[in-house]
Amino acid sequence: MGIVSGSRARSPWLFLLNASSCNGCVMEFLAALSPRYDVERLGCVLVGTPRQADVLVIVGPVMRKMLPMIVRTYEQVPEPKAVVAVGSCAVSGGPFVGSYAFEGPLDDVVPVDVYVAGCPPKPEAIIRGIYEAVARKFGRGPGGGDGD
Amino acid sequence: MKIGVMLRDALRRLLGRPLTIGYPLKPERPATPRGYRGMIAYDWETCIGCMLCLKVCPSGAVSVADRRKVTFDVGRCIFCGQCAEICPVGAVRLTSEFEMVAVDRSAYRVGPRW
Amino acid sequence: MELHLATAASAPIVLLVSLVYEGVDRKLRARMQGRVGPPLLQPFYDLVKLFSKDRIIPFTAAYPLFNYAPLLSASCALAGGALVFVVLVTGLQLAGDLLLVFYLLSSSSLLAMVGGASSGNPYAAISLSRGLSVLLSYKLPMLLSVLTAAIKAGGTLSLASVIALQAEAGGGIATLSLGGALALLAFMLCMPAEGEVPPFDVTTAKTEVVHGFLIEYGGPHLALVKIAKGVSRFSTALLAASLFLYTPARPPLAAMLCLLEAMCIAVLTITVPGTVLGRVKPSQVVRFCLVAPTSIAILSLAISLLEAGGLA
Ligand code: SF4
Ligand code: SF4
Ligand code: SF4
Repeated sequence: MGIVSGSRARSPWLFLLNASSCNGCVMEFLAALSPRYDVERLGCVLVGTPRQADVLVIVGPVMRKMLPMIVRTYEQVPEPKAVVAVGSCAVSGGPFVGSYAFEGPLDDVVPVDVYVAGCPPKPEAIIRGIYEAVARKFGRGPGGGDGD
Repeated sequence: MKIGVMLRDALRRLLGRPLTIGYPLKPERPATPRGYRGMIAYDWETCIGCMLCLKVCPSGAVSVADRRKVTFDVGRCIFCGQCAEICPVGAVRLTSEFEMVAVDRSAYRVGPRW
Repeated sequence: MELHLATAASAPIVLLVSLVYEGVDRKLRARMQGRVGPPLLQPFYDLVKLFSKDRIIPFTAAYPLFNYAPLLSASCALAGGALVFVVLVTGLQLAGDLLLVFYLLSSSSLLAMVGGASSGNPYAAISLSRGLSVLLSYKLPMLLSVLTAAIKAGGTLSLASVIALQAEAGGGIATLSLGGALALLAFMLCMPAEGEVPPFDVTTAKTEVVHGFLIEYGGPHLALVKIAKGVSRFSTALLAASLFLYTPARPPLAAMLCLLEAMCIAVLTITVPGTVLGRVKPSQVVRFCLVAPTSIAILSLAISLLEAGGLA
């Protein structure tokens, strides 16, 4: 285990991209930052700009207006990066499949590493999704033994 | 003053135990609230193929499978529970399983296993 | 020549200690909010990760400035912090080193802001204009209180003679006289602005100006700016500890004690306000800094001048 990959796995900074979500998933994601769930324990910090992010958390269905923004945001996250699709809308479109503005599931637009189904998923499930994405992408799960 | 109240609360928190639960580093799993609607459990042997669930599903997560059975796509479901409510034989249930994390969307398909 | 070597050698120590402080800060802050918080080594992981990431330079950026400002900013902050540390360890008399440290730390903040604003991002520009007014308003009382300490030490601008005076008197400037105590108070009131924490974090507020001048920085650039910020805020606390507080020991050991004192000052003035207070408006920051700490600092300066005149 190299020091670089270990550090990557221990400090996955999150950027939340709202691709036309109904805000249910946004609320649950923010709950994951709250004292009860505390993702900072795993080294995660919510950052406000994709340039500082490692894990791109995308919620909501891909709608026509947001399509270029999703692609641009994805491209602005510096490598190495992971993408987590949170909520049934991001996974497949959920109830919005068939809408005139719907542009297909998220994985048609950007490569997705981990899917988290639920409408909205529980904060625990979102944390598990981030955990799996980091473990898959950076070689090990965040917050190893000394995360007390 | 408000600052005094905040300081007192911060100090109390500092000296007390943190509110954080151990999940996901510790094996303990947080309990789900009563009536929580999570992962779909489909008993395909009981299912009589009436297709009522397919008709009521608001998000089109149910599709027809072979031999008059149905397949649920959990990745598209919004966990409204209407399918479980309408099923005449109780073949669909929404369990308390909430950890629906997958790396492949095909893992979300819940259907008959022949 | 030896001074250059000593400064270069103590820069890693200052960096290490300021990273440790950042870890303590994040842990304490989390615990005060009822969370578990990140491990103590989190700042180290963050830095290693950031240095290993891709560099992205926006095409609207003024390339040389955008690219090199973080490096310059980090070196300025490290040089300032290391200088204080060298004086603490060796007790070296350097005429005007107080002003030099002050100048280095201020240029560090300034360079980071200008570098960020050169990215062409409008949020960074807003942040630069906010940052400049805040910088001017809190550096003034800070400088005044540093001058108070210098007057106490007989009008020299050398850090070592201030420390020597305290060792002679057997007490810190802040505990020996009213003027010194007021100066320390003014200095500490400015610390949240220096550390860019609530209530004075209007320059880099995430929810207001999206990280401000940091918005286009990521990867190695961000790591350097983070080093600059962490080191300069810890060095400011170190400066306060060495200027105003008494360390009951000889120079080499005194440096260790001083680092501890600086840690306590930083926790009191950066960690605690950052946790319990909310953000105020930029104009309120400027008004507060130009009213409360500045008048206290001017008062302390006047008292010290009177005391010095009375002694003569
Ligand atoms: S998955 Fe549900 S909660 Fe999340 S954005 Fe879609 S509709 Fe809203
Ligand atoms: S729970 Fe609701 S959305 Fe999900 S399959 Fe049943 S009816 Fe469809
Ligand atoms: S409603 Fe029940 S019995 Fe009818 S098709 Fe659906 S699962 Fe089968």
